[in-house]
Formats: sequence, structure tokens, C-alpha cells
Amino acid sequence: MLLTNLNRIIKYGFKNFWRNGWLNIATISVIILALFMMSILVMINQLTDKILADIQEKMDISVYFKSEVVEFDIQRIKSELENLSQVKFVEYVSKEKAWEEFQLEHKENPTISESIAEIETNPLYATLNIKARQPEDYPGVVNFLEQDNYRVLISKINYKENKEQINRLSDISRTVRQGGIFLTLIFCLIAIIITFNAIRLTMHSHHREIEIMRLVGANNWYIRWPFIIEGMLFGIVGGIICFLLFYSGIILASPKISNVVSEINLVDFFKSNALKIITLQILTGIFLGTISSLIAIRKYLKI
Amino acid sequence: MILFDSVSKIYPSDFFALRDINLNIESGEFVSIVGQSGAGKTTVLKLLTAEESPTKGKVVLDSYDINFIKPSHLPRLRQKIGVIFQDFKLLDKRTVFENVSFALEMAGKTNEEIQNLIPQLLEIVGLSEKINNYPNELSGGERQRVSIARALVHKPKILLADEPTGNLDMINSWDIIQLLLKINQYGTTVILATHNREVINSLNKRVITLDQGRIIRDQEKGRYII
Repeated sequence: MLLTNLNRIIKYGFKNFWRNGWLNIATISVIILALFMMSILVMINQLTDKILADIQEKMDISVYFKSEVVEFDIQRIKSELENLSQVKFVEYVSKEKAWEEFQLEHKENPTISESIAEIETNPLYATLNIKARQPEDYPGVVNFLEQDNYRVLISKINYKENKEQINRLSDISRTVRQGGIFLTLIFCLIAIIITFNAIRLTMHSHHREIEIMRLVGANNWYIRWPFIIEGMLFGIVGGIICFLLFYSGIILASPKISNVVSEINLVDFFKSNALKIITLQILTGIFLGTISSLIAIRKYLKI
Repeated sequence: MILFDSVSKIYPSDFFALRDINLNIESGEFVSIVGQSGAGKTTVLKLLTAEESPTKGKVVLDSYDINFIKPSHLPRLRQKIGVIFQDFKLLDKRTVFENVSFALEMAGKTNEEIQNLIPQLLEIVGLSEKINNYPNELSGGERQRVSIARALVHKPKILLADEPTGNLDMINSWDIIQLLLKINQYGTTVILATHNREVINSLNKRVITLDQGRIIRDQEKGRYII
């Protein structure tokens, strides 16, 4: 009996879904629109996160030592830095190595190679490149190096230039995220209301059937389930169509965005997250459809 | 089997649909409830199907106290009652077979049982040949028979008929009344709400007359007198 009922419930769910052609197209379009806007918001959030992470990854402090400082002192500072909990690793680049690398790097450029040949002494500084564990840790490391006994040995700490850039990006990312959450919530609400109304319309076309079902003694869940299944189908179809639209949109938009910000490759990003995106879209669609159906049918079950 | 004990039904804005109704209907009876529109006939039926609950007093049907029935018991109560209406309440996009099988499916009958039962039911109401027709291909009388077949699927103890002949001509009305009498002979209690004078006067059964929500007459072999 359970199996027979399950069978019928699913059958009626599908039947309802196929029957009201235009009404269903309207309902699904509304779901697609809602999902699409939400997907764009989520995508923007993810991308800013990714860019920020990339930049944080590239961030470091370079400490240039005065030319008279001997390697022993630098090694001592290096090991003291390594003992700091904020520091992830420290790399020592000697004057000679820096010079070698510089020459190697500019081998192809005749102007620079000629200038190099004219200089007899090594003009570069010995350097420590420091990577901290967290972006917030850098100021602490800089403060450590600015103590008087170190400060006298150091020619220049290369951190401040990056700092402003990083702060600005963090600010943008935070604003985008907060705004995104707010917009997503509002959009969810609007989507539920619109979907609810669309589904209520389709349900109205079934009100006679529901009335009769109740009068012949069908229990409420038996009446409810086909509509819930119909709502789920709206969500699934909406989710799939939204995914396809989204994909085509990204293929079209990606070259234009890459022109502006070269680090971003939307297509790659989309492809590596495709499974996550489609799952999320379909699940959100199912959620929208089911919740709306459940709310909409309450009115007709009161008798 | 059915008991109304000092029942009043007051709708919002103080409209008295029923006032202090006392009524006792035994199993197997054929009872007509007559009265003009607005006299309270439909309200009596709605109290029995628990679509409405009484404002005052007590309504008991079988072992169910309508005042305190749980929503989860409603389906079981309604499966004991068959209901037919003036407007038939058939689904236009489904055939005669599907309109009846619909009710059987709700009761969780298997497809085999449904295939066996429906021809029998349609035989009782005399529609065996129209099994695959759609409602708009049937006459009013035939449509009412479909709705009677549907009302019979649960083998109900009680059949409620709310103006079943209201949309029918004299000949069709008679057919339907004959059918109700036949169903009553099988042992089902029939409660017929109507204001069709000719029908009542020829039945020679119990008649309860309502006027403005009150019972003004309850006669064993009654006639339509207002």
C-alpha cells in the first residue's frame, strides 16, 4: 500500500507539472531569475576572496641591510626572526647572490647589461625576505625589526608600499561580502515571495481537485506531496536552466573581464567549481520550490 | 447513529445558520431535510462532514464527536460518508473511470482492486457504457450518477445529498431519487437536502422542515409544507 501510494504521489506530481504549460514556464522563469542573481552574488564573493588570497600569498617583507653589515650579523637576525611565532620562514639572499640574480635576469636587456659591465662594485644589498603566517602579523615583524639595535644595521624595510594596497583590498572585500550577504538575503526573500505567488497561481488551478480529494477523505499528506514534488521539479528544472545560462554568460563575459583584471579567469574558475555551482543552484531551486508549495497549499487544506 | 444535541451555528456577524437543533437519525433511515434557501440545510450537512464545527451544542456521528475531532481523524470520518452535490464536483479533464478511481486511489486501493471495483460501481449507477467518456459528454443526470458512484467507493454508512436534483429536469431528478432509494435499501443511511416539492411529496419518508435555522416540523411520513 505504501508503495502504491508513493507511486501515485510521484505520478501526480509529474502530471501536475506537465499540465499547466504557460503557468509553469512563468514559475520556472521566476525561479531562474532568482537563482541567477544569487549565483552572480556568490560568484563575486568567491572571486574577491580568491584575489585577496592570491595577493596575501605574494605578500612579504624585504629587509635590505647596509653594505657594511657582515653576514654573521645578518644570520643572527635571521635566526632571531625565525624564533618569532608570527614568522613562517626567512630567506637570506647575500649581496653576491642578489647581484648574480640581477645580472642573470637582465642578460637580455643590452642597456642594463652595459651599465652592469661599467659598474665595478656590487651595488646591491644583502636581503632577508620574510613571510609571516597571517597578513595581520606583518606589523609585528616590522616593529621587531625597528628596535634600535637592528635599525642601525638596516638600510630599508620594504613593507609600507604593499600595506596600503592590501588594506584597501581587504576593505573592498569586506564591503563586497557584507553587501553580498545582505543582497543575497533580500533576494532570497523576494524569490520566495515571487515563487510563492507563482506556485499559488498554479495551485489555484487545482483547487477543485484538492476540494474533492478532501471530501473523499484523502489525508493531507497525500494531497500535499504531489504539489511538493511539483515544487521540487520547478526547482530542478530552474536550477539546470540557470546553470546553463550562467555558463554561457561566463563564456561570453570572461574575455572582457580578463582584459580588465588579468589575474581572473572566469571560465577556469567556473569549470573547477562547476559541480559545486550546479549542486548549489539545484538545491536552492528545490528549497525555493518546496517551501513555496508548502506555504501555498496551506490555504486549500483548511476545509 | 447521528445525534444533534441543542446545536447552534452562528457565523461571524451574528448570522444564525442554525438555532437549537435537536435531531436523532438512526442507521438505515432515509431522511429528507427541506426548507427554502438559507434555511440551514447545507449547514446541517457541513456539520456532519466536519467542514464546520458547531458554535453551541454537540454533534455526534457514529463514534465521532465533531466538536473534538482531531484533524488526523478527518479522513477516516469522511471515508464513512459519501457526499453528492448540486454541481456534481467532477474533474472535467478526467474520464468517468478516472473520476471514480481518483477517490479509490486516495483510499490507497491497489490498481487491481480499482480495476475490479469501478465496473461494479458504474453498474450500480447504470453508467457501464460511459466508462471512458468525459463529463462534458454526459447529461446532467449522468454526471450526477458519476458523482454517486464516486461517493460509494468507500461503501459509506451515510450518503449526504445536497440538492442533488437542483440542476436536473424532472425525469433525471426521478432517476437520481430512485437510485438513492436503491442505495438506501442496501443499508446506507441517506440524508437528502432539497427544496424540490414533487420529489418530497412522492417519497413518503421522514421529512424534517427547517425555517430560518429552526426545525419547525419533523414527520415520520412527511410532505413538503411551508
